[in-house]
Amino acid sequence: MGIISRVSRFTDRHVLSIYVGPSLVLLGLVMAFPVVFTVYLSFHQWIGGALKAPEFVGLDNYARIFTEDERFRGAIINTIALTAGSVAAQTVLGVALAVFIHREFAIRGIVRSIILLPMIATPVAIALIWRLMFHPQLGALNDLLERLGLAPSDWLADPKLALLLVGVVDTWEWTPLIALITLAGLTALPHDPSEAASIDGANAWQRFWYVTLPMVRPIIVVAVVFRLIEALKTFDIILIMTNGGPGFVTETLNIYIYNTAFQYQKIGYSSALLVVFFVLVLLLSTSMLSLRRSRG
Amino acid sequence: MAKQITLRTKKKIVRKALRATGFYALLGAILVPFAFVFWYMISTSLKPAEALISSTFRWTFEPTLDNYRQVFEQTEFSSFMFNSLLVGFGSVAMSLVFGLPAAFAIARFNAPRLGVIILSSRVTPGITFLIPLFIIFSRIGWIDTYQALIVAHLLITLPMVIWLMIGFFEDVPQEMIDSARVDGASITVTFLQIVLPMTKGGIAASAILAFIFSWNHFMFSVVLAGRHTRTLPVAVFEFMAYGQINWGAIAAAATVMTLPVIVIALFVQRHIVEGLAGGAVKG
Amino acid sequence: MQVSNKSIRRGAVLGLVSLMALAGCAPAAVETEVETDGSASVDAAFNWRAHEGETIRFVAGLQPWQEAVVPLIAEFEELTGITVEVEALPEDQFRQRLQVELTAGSGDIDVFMTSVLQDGPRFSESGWYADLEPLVSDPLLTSPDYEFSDISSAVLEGHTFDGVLSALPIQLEVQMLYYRKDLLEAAGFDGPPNTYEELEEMAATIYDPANDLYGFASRGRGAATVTQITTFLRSYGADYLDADGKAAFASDEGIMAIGEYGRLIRTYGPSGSVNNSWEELLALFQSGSIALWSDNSGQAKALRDPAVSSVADVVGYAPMPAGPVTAAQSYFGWASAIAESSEKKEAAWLFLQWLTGPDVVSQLQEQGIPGGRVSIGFGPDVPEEFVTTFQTALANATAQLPAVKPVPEVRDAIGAAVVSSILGEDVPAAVRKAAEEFDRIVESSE
Repeated sequence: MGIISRVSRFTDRHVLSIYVGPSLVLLGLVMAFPVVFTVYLSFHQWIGGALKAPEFVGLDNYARIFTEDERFRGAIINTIALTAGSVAAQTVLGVALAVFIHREFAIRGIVRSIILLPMIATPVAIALIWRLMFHPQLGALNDLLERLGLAPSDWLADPKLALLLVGVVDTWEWTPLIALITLAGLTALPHDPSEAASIDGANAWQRFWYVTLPMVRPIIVVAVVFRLIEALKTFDIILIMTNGGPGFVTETLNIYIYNTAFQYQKIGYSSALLVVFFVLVLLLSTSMLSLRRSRG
Repeated sequence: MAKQITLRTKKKIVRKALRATGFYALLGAILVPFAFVFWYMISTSLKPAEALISSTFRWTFEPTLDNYRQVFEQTEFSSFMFNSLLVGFGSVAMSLVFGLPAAFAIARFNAPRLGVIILSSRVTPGITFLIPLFIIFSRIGWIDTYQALIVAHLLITLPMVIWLMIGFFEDVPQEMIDSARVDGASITVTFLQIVLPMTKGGIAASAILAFIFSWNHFMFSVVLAGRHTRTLPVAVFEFMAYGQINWGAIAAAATVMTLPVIVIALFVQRHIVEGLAGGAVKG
Repeated sequence: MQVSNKSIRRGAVLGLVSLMALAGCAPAAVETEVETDGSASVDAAFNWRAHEGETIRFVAGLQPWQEAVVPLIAEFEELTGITVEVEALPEDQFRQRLQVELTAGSGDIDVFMTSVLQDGPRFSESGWYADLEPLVSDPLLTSPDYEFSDISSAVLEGHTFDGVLSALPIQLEVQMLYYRKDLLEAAGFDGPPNTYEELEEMAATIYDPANDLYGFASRGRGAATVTQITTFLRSYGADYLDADGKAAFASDEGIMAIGEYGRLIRTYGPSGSVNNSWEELLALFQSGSIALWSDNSGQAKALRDPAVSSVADVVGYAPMPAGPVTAAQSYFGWASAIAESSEKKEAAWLFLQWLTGPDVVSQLQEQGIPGGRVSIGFGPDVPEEFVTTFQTALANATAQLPAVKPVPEVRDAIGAAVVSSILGEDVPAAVRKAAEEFDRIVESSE
């Protein structure tokens, strides 16, 4: 009894270290070497892997990224366009959907299950199916268009459409996340303010915009921030559907880094790109988080 | 008088019915894009080879289980599934053991910054880890082992469990904890005997979501898994051989891969919604 | 550049081999079961079972060769008592796996497939290939039946980097023109096209998109196109590199060649071409939609297999047609190599020589998969027309990829120009831009 109570008093005093410590240490251990190694390599050129030592090149990689590399610039633009567009669409559609199904009806459970599906399915497998659907000759979509009397499209092979379609698939996949989080938030809300507003003569739209939305906004923002961080790193679906093509129009930064490391074997340069990418994501997410705090 | 009421009531009923129909119609229209892709996947998986080599899309065909047979015969699919299950359970179990106390402490002992630090591990792109982890694991002889994959997947599941559970732990009413403490219980006892049982639903939700993300993860598996530990997402590529792209088999593999998580989802969708809400409400 | 070194080296090797055959002594410490009584006689030396009980790991990509050879590996295991762990992955994952493991220097890979045209320079620079010459030339380690000299010396030169024999050929391919005999006949043509003008004429006549019939198709997906445009470039009088190692394909001839390639595909090919690589086009040809398809000879097997191809009995094979300057042909090849970091090089060599030995190669060539051996011909089941086309093309073929180090990266750059051409954009500007990128990439890789 004595030892146990001494131990528990000890843990009580050092709650944070004992409860959180192990997780931090575990994550730290797994992440430490990769992160340090990547930063180290970003100042080197490394051909040959473990059989040859990396060659120190100082800031050369970084200089090249920012002055010479056109594909980098393209990748940044594609990343920002795709992320901003998809997350915006997911948010609007997700919130709308949540509001729409936020009511009592018979098949509620089934509907929620169906809505969950895109988010749970394996992205790699689903991307292959989408790729087949978009196939100009073998896919269902062009067939549908033709039956409706419309001209067939090149879909993913059309450089003007490709990035948009990737965004569509991404939105299809992640709108459920926003919708379900918002739905849960709506369910938890008190009804009184909304009822009071309707007594005051506000119509459904006004009630939603001026009463419900502000109350549920903090929840939506958290979901959006989480989604944003993940969206910047979208990888599986792009790799499977287009691998950055046609040309480089769907090449986001993550895909570019992947190809640089594994196709071109430029490990030093890709490490530098990774550092830049990390800084970019960090800046974006912290600025979004501080936005949330200031709006409270 | 009686006649008028009936008429008005009738009109009300009709209007209500119309609105309900409208609702269900719109609902159906919205659900079509969600479900269409899955219908497409399943129907492709049932198509015989000729229906797929035809140069136009065929809506009707003779269904066959041939593709599924190929999937199970030509690949070690059951082995892949076992591996995915093992790695998933392993990393989720470890995430719970490490993550539940961590989330609890962050939630109730005023350490939101630690929460942000842990979430920031999601900021690092996965590629960062591929070569360094491979180098470490090959040095300690962990290539093609389950422990290597479980540790790698921890990078995904642990932050997620913590992020989601922080909200649930914040929701626990302070009075419950206070009364336990007043009775002389230590924090650990309170945690184990009071808080955990109260948040059972949230724990289930977090565990399920973390498992799903681990199940679907692709990148680490290609690099860190060997012949014996390869997980499901890699399996679908076995059918894109030089001879042809076997869309039927790919669809069958995709269906079999997605089926378990869909089944889980159908049964626990309520818990998942709670899980997402719990993480978001207090964030 | 490497030419003079290589020929000197080959001469030295031949000299060394003859010296060794005469002296009959082992060059290095070897774990063979040789009686160490001082004077080991040559015929008691080589032993297939010298490394009995060991296990080696073989990493391969999914290819016709791999598909055909893997079932035969049991024979090797019985012969030698060595266990072979085969890991075969789809091409992208295969390359990724290989890169990560070799970069980490893990020592787990013993034998691996490699494409010397694509990865050769980089892998060689990284020191990932084990030098095969000491192994080949050691009679203790190499079976007397191996007949190394039967392997085409021209091909071997392509597998030697900086004097190091890095790999041995296992699957040779040439670019060829697949054509539908029935469609051409029905349209009034009596044979495959000999020039690009004739090709265009045929494509234009047959092209009927309303009925899913396309006149001419070829790869359009970025980097994948580069192996296919080599013949176009040379047939129009251009090339990848000039004498100084700089990009030469932005010449007028080069621009015209790339422009023509894109125009033909755009005008007579299926829509969405820029996303089509061999996988998509193979499916389309098999389903009967394409009349003329230029791609590598490895596709032939899938085309004449009635189980997957609806046009199996009407496929014709022809060498690439002639442009204004010549009828250029090109080749691509897969090879097998031993990893420098492998700790079981001798066991690995037993496997590699078995893979490239006359027995296995003739078995594979029966099925239509050509290795690098001069004396072995195709089996009787392989269509006559394919054999003639293959041999004609191979006789004059040049490498399908430019001889630079950063091949994958320049492939993306050149591929972008081809994509522009197919889309009908400003071809001269795109090609010049690609040439600049090419030079920049090559320069920064030195």
